[in-house]
Order: sequence, then C-alpha cells, then structure tokens
Amino acid sequence: MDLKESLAEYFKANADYFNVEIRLQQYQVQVIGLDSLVDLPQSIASLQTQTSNLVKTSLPPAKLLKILGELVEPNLASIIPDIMKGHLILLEPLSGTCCAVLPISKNVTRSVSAPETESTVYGSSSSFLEDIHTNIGILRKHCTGSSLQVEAYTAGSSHPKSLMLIYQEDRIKPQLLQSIQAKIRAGLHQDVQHIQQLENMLGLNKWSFVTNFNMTELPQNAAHALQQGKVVFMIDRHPFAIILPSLVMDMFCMKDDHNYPRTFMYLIRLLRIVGVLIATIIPGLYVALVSINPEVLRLQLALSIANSRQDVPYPAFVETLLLLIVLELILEASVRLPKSVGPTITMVGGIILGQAAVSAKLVSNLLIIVLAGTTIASSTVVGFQNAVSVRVFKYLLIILSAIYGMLGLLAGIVVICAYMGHQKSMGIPYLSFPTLNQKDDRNG
Amino acid sequence: MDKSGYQAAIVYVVCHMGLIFFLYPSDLFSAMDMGHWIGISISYALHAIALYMYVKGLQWAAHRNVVDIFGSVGKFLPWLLLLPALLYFGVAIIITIRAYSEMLTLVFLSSTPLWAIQLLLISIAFLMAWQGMSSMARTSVLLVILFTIPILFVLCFSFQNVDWYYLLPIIDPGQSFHFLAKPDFLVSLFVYAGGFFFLGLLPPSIQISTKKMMLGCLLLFPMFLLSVYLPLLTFGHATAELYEFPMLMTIDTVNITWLLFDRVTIFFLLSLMAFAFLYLGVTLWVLVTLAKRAVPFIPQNVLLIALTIGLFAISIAIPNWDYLKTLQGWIIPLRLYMFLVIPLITFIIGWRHKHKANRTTEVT
Repeated sequence: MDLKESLAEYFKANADYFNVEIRLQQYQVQVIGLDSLVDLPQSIASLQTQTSNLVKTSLPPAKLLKILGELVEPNLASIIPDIMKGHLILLEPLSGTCCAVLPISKNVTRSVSAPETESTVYGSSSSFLEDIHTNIGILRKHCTGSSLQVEAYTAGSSHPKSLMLIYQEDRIKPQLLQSIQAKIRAGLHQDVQHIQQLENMLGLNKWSFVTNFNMTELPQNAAHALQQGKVVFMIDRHPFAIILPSLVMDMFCMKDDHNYPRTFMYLIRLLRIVGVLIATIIPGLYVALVSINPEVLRLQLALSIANSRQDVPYPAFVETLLLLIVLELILEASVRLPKSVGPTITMVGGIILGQAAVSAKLVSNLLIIVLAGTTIASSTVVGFQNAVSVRVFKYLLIILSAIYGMLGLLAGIVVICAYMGHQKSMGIPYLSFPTLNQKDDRNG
Repeated sequence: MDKSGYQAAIVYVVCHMGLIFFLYPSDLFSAMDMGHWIGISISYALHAIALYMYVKGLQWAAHRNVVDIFGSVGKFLPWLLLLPALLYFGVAIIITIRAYSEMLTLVFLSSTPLWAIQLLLISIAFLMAWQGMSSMARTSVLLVILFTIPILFVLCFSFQNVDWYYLLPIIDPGQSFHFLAKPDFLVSLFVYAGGFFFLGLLPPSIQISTKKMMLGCLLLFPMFLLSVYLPLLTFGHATAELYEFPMLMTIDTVNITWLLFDRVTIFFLLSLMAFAFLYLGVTLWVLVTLAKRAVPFIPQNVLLIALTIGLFAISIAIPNWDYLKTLQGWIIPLRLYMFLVIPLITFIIGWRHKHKANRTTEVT
C-alpha cells in the first residue's frame, strides 16, 4: 500500500480530507491536507506563482520542494501531525519526496475585539482571543522590551495542545522559573485542556479556596504581571492569559488603575478592599446582631430590626442562608443564560422574588438590603475568580456567627486570615507583596 | 521570606497587645494604690532589658535555635532549662483560655456555656499552630492591617469620661517599693514574661532585627500606660480596683452618639481578641516545637493534637475564677524564671559564643 492509499485509509472518516494533483513545473504533485483548515484554491495559486517565478526551470523534485516548504519523511507517522496542525503536504510520488508547506489557512479565528468578561474604562480595550499566536502577538505589542521570553511546549498525548510559558527574563526569580519549567517538563504527557489540568501539571493545591491563577482577558494586565516577575501561560483555544502566582493584591489592583490620577487610584483600591470586607462580613454581622448580640446595636435600631423581623418564622441564620442561596442561583443563572434572557431573570429575581419574599414574611426588609449590598460589594474585586473566593468565605462567617455571635464572626475572620496566610503557590506565599522580582527599578 | 525583621517584630507586638488590656490592669490595681507609673516603668524597663539581652544573645549565637544554643553548653542543660518553659507555657495557655472565655461570657455571650468558648479559642489556636510560624507571621501582618484602626478609634474615644485629677498623687509620699514583692505585682508580670520567648524558635526564613524589635517594644510602652491609666482616670483607683476587667468597664462608659452601635466595647474587645488568638497560636506552637525537641520520635502533628486535647481538658477542669487566681500565684517562680533567667542565660551563652568565634578568627 503506498502512502496515498494509506493516507486515504487513515482519513476515510474525515470528510474534509482532500488529495488533489496539481502540476508544479514539470512534476505532477499530490497536494494533501484538511479542507477545513486550508484554503485550497488560494494555496494552489500561491504555490504555482512561487514555482513559475523560479529562474532555474529544471530542479530535481527534492530541491524544488525544499524551496516551497520543509522536507518531511514520507511516512504516516511524520505526515499526520502536520496535516492535523493545518499544514499542506506536497508529495511527489515518483521520487517519494514529501514536504510540509505553510498554506493560506481558512480563517477560523475572530478578529481582535473588546473584552467580554472584564471591562475597562481608561485603558486599551483589545482582548486576547483563542488563537495562541494572535495572543502572543497582542502581548508583544504591550511588552516591547527585549527580555520577553516565550517558551513553547506541546502538552498531552491524546489531544496535544500548545502551551506557551511567557516571562521576562530580567524580572522573574530564577528559582520560580526553574521550578515551573521542571514541573512542565515532568508533566508534558498530561492533557492540558483546562485550568484544573494545568493545576495538576504544576502540582498546585487543587482544593484551595483562593485561586491559584489569575486569568485575564486584558493584555495590559498580563504585561503588568510579567513586569512584576510573574509568569503567564497561554493555552491554545483559551482566550485568557493565565497568570501565576496569584497574590492577594491582585484582588484589588489592576494595570488600568494607573491611568487614573494617583489619588483616585488609591481611593479606588481602598474602595475595593472595603467592598471585600463588606461582602464577607456583613451577612455574618447581620446574623450575629439579630440572633445573638442585639444589645450591641442602638436600642432604636434594634427595635426597628426586631419589628421588621416580627413575622419571620425562623432564625436569622436560616433566613440569611435561604436568600443567599437564591442570590447565588440568580448569579449562576445569569452567567449561563444568553444575553437576551438574562435581564428577565434579573427582574424576576430582583423585583418579583425580593418583593414577594418580604410581603410573604419569609425574610425581613433589612436582610434584602444587606444581601443586595453584599452581592454588589463582592463584585468590586478584580477578576471573576477572586469574586468567587469572596463569595465562598462569607458562608464560614455566617455559620460561626450563628453559633457564637460577634465572637464567631471575629473567629471566622481570624480563620480566613490564617488560611490566607497559609496559602502558597509554587513556594510563593499568597500574602506577598505584588512585586516578586528581586531587582529594584531604582537601584538596578 | 522576610529578611527585614518586620514580621518578627509585628508578631511580638501583636502577641503583647492581645495580653495587655485584659488581665494586667486589675492585677496592677490590686498591687499598687498610687503612683502606678512607677510599677509600670520598672516592669517595662526589666522587660525591655530582658528582650534586648535575649535578642542579642540569639544573634551572637549566630541565629540558632534557643534549644541548640543551650545544647551547645551541655547535653542535659537544655532539658533542665527548658522543662520549666514547657510547663510555664502550658499553664499560660490554660490561664489565657480560661480567663478570656470567662471575660467573653461576661461581656457578650451570657448564655453560651464556657466550654464552648474554650473549645473555639483552642481550636483556632490549634489551627494556627498547625500551619507553622511562617504562616502565623503573615497572618499577624494581615490582622494588624484589619484591626489596628478599630483599636485606635476606641482608644481615642475612651478619653471621653476622663477626670485628670485622678492622676494625682503622682508619687506616693511614703513610697517604699514594697509592692515589688507583692504576689499581685508578680502576677501582673504575666504580660511581660514569656511573650518574646518564641523569637528563639523562629525558622531561619524569619529574621530578627534588634532595632525593629526595640522599636516594637517602644510602641508597647504607651499601651501599658493606657491600659492602666484609662480606667484609673475614668473611675479613680478605689472604684477601678473593684472591677475584674477595668479596661472593658472603661470602654463600656464611652458613648458615641453618631455611631450605629451602642457598645463600642465589643469592637475593642473583638479586635484585641483577634490578637489574643494569635498569642494563643504562637504559644501553642512554642509548646509543640519544644515538645518535639524533647520527644523527637513522635510526629509533630500527633504531639500538637495530644497537647491541644490535654490543654483543653485541663482548662475545662478549672472550676472557678478563684482557682485560676491561685494557679497564677503558683507559677510566679516559673514566670520570674521565664522573664529574667532565660534571657540572661541566652545572653551569656551568646556572649561566650561570640568571644569564642572572635578568638578562632584571631588565631587563623
């Protein structure tokens, strides 16, 4: 069975496989590839233009093909990966020479557009997209220094994916880089289709409540992270830069803040910190004040709260948990739903459910305010994955507050602080300062 | 990760802040009738000297573990010297847990049983000690950031009901310094003793800087004064002496009309409790580290669990407040030993070590 037949046999279940014969100079050449990835007519036209422009007209097939592309062994094992990548294979059957050509490819990526999960006010509004090379191109536009290094790996055996490790050589700590490189090399056989698999590969804590990676759609954030001595991962078909390690200040700071006047930048960051504190503490505080320590409040306020809860039949703990879970459901649903249905859910959740729950004496008026404030505040942090961490922590505080009141609330805060103090990724504590690089700008 | 010495200093300050405002004022009130600042200054000066000697001794001995430093002199010396430390920290944890849970019940958890609060205190201390010193050091920084503002806020407002005439007489005309030998005064040394012992067990990743430690120590001096003088200026000695927790009573008198909350005590108390949690964690960690040195064949985690359960069992076995007072009286010798002898020995061994090192460099 010759190569043509065995290729046809291999790709018989792939309708987009083609094998056509064209004439290049004096040779009949087979052109092989995948229709879905290659723009065939344009590629053939380009090949013919290239050959017709050659000065020497009688080249042996091997030399001719070498001019057009990269020679490969004419066997299945070496050709198939090239075809899968979207290359075009030229085969001269008489001499058995074979080469892989970069064709004019079908456009399967969208153009650079505005970010969809992160929004910017003052800042570049281009975002990463699925194609890894475009991503790196965009990033290079933001990091024009010569120290930017891009290492390419192909990870996984069943569905290989390209994984790019990007860092700034003069910024990153050598130990951090070496440990990451060693982990990647050791785990190259593992598939990296999603973040959990990347965590697996790097040996990070899979059950952590704080995120190990920061993901960003915004090239300026990725460039900023590189400046700080962090590494950025890019996975093909993944429209995010994955920044490692993630530190506590990443919750509050982003690159675009620097486009505000300095005073406002600090005020905005302070606001985000307050937002996180409110989001984690307030529901627990409500439970503690209403059910265990009402004497802390001013008498008038305590009375008015008691009045609003008069007909609510169950303890504050159940009341809060009930509404919080409904809120989580609304949040999750509005992420899942198409944009056209989203507003309906918001309306049903916000107006109908909220109003009805109060009228039916299921929850108190105050609780609606508390939880609305909480939900809004928890979204002030930078990065969706950080918002998820914040959402989780408040439940610990609610449970402890329901048992120990204000003391429980405090104990919960201390536990969260201790937990954050204990977290590390790749040996770098979560509570470190944002700049990891040893070299200082001022003293070189 | 910390090379500047800030973390060690912060842990030191935080641990003491968690102790100063609770038991210290009432002990000092029962020890002295007037001229309290003399007592505070004397014990503070001793504390500062002890701290300085301890830190210097550690640094001269090339930042080694305090157990190794004592071990360099003789094989059984660390056993002999550190066994009292082990005992002292055990009792210190029990007293702290018991006293604080009593206070918490008093202030705002009247219907919660004591054992439940003790369980909460010890489990959080356990959690912190489990994570190790580096994590606790980072946690302490976070706690300082979160809780300093409420503490300062309340301290500023607690001058509201102050009557400055209570400051007088500044000096007792018949001052005889006989208070120095009073058991109550020796009990009040609780806040000065042992709080800095953990410095000798720090992992190499956390460095100690003498300058920053002494700065931290300086920061504590106004706190010692405030903890005694705020109640004194608000109530006068005769009344303040009657309270079990004079500082909390003082803050309970504060009334801020524009605040949402009626009792600012709770914020003060809670912020200080956060620091006290760290003190408990650090002390438990010191206990485990020492115990691990004593019995190296038992895994550290097993030791920690055993210690936690043991301490919890003892602390719920203490029947009442008077019993606790007696217990505090019993450990006075141990406390003085921790306070004065251990820093002195460390200083001497460190000094010897330095001289030996100097001589070897001279010879070569």
